[in-house]
Amino acid sequence: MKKYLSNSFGAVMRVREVGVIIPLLIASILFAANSPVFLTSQNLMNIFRNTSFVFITAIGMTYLIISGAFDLSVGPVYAFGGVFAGLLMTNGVPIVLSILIATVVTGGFFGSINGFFVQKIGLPPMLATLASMNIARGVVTGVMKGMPVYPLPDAFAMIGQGSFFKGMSFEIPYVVAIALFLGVIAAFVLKRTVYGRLICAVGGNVETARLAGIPTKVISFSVYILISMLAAFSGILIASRLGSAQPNVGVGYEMQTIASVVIGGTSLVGGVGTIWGTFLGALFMAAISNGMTLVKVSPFWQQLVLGIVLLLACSLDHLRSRLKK
Amino acid sequence: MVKPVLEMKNVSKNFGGVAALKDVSIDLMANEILAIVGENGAGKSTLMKILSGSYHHATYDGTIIINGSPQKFASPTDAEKAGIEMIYQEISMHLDMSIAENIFLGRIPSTAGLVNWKDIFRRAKTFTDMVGLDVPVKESLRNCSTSQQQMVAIARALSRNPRILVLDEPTSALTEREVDLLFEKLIMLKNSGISCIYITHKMKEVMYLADRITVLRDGQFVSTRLKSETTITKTIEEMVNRKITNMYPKRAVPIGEEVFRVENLTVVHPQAANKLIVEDLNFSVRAGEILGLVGLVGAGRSETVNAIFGAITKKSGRVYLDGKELTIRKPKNAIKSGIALLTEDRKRDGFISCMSVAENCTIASLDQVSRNFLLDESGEKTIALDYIHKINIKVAGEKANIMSLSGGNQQKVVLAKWLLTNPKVLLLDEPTRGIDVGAKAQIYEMMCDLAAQGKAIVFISSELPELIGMCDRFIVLGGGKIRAEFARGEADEETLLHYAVVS
Repeated sequence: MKKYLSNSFGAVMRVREVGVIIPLLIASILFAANSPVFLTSQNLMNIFRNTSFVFITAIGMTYLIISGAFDLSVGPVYAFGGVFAGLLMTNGVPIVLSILIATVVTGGFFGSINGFFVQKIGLPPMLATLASMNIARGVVTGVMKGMPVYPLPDAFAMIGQGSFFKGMSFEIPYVVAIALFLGVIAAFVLKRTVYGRLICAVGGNVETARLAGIPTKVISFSVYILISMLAAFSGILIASRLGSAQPNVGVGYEMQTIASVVIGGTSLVGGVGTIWGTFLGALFMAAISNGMTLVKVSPFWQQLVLGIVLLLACSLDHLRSRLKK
Repeated sequence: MVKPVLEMKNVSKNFGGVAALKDVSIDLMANEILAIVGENGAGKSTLMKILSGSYHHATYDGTIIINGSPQKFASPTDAEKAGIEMIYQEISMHLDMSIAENIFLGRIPSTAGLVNWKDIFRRAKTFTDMVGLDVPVKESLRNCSTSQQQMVAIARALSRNPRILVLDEPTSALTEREVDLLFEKLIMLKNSGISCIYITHKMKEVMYLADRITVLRDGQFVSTRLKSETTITKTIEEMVNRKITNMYPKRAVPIGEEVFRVENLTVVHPQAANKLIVEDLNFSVRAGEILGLVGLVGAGRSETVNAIFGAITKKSGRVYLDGKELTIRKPKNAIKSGIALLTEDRKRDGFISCMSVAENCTIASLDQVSRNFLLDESGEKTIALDYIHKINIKVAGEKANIMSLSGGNQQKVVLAKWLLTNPKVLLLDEPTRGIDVGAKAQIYEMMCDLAAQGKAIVFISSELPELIGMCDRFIVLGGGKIRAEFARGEADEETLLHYAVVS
């Protein structure tokens, strides 16, 4: 019996996402026991919606971390995307076109800056994206003088506020549907396409990849553009959700996305990771924030709890990888 | 009867039900160098880890007796106290510290927290003198050559006043000349009363250096013989338990037309922009021919093949395949043209450690296992299994992580990766480095097969016997230039070495 237990314990510990599944379950049970609201469909929907805004960018962060790089500039790019789309819309550009232009231009621009300084100049990703983080934030708050773009068209606000099966107990916010759709595509691309394989190769061993004829710099560059586009797009969705595009949203957003990726079991060394794990990571972060508010943990203390949780979840992941050896 | 300095008696150790050592006993006399040989996985490293205290005495069976008194080591510190010093394969030292600091690392003597550097430098000097290292002890280790670093490692071991020195493959990063220097020192130490256990794959070193040779196989003791009572062939036979009639399965294959030609290749020194490491080099290889590049480390052998492949930039030079000039600016161009480069250090740039065997096999030819950018996983599996069988890669399955394989099998995966690109020219840079005798023989066999298929092969190795055994022709490089050229049978080790060393 003891042996059986230890064997099944070992089997559980070998699942890559164990670092997030166990804490997620524990936290959910604790919150459900202490708050009648936590498990209501309305609240779960809220959690999933909050998850989505982080998850969309965390998809890009997963790719980027697997490819062996890093991006701190996603928060300001998130704000930039929303504000840019808002400005286009309030100046008469059609909604869909505004979203498209804002996503592609914002993502392309900041992605290129990051990619250029990391790949061409050879700066460490941490440094290059720390600089572009400040640049992006500076531009967006400077241009807007800190003021939001408001009001936005009602049809646009529908994207962030509306749902499928509205009013029913299983209503699915559009935002959640969009995030899941992107997640499924991203998981497929990572696992089943040449592009996904190349990302893993570049992050696993960039020199081996280069000698195998892989255009390593092009791959890295493309992932930087991808993550910036996803951040901008996610920023447009949050603007839609809030009904206004604010230049100061997304403070701490880079940490939320990176934490989702890492808690989800993606290795910071590069080469390995899953979109599924990142989704669980983002869900976990959202559930903790939401649950703490429900059980009336002061917002002043929440940050501390999130930090401790991050530390514990990562330690569990680290122990797991040591066990594997 | 002389009493042994060290006895290890009836040592057995299991790792989770798998026996790594079964009832192994060895002894070491005073003023003796004992070589322990065996294939990878024979149990040499485990035995030495037991001796060095890396495994707690409760985790294995058997006894360790030093100078007649039984020992129970709970940690490496205990073993050091008993006079045992290990020098490992990978040199573990701080490159940006001085030689003196490295020698006294972790136990820099101080008075009331103050370090008397003058005293340390003086004492460090006595140890560097002992190993004949002619570099100021204040020099940082980074500025030392690999062999000098190796000497510092030995000096550090000596500073702890050991009775027994254990060396694990100390020469893998050294050139032949540096090896000679090391051996001279080891023999000197032996005569001054320090016994040595020497672990290696290299038979020639064993025959030169050892007084006695212990063979291990599959965790079991096979034999201990005086050097005078055994031969290389016999030792290898005992290691692999099968008769090796010829270490080098060289076959005479028809040598065809010239396939590959390099003209006026010039490459700038990677560390010094005003120096050339390869200078105006010209050579060609014919179909079915194995060309050996002979030379010391730093002679420009690796740089030559890396520059041909586009892995490093060349200053000038032209490369022709089947008479047509190629434009190679990056590895991708070379691969497309039909050139493959197996690099010197498979861990650094040969495979991807987080990937499976199958993924490593196909990484340079993903177009063969994909359609419209979608990976064809069953196709990949078929291809990987095909190579696993064809070149006899010992692995649980194609999905196994490459790090779970032995060095020799990892190397076969890297070779499979290049064979999949269907090259006409293979540049093999130290393809047998750090792999066991059995795997080496298989790599040689594969090289012969490839030559028989009409491939042109350039073979770089620091082990002269294997070059002489396998190559049809030799080019001796020195200072980035060709110093001599020989056909098979025209040159022996001494001649090749002579041209490599003497400018």
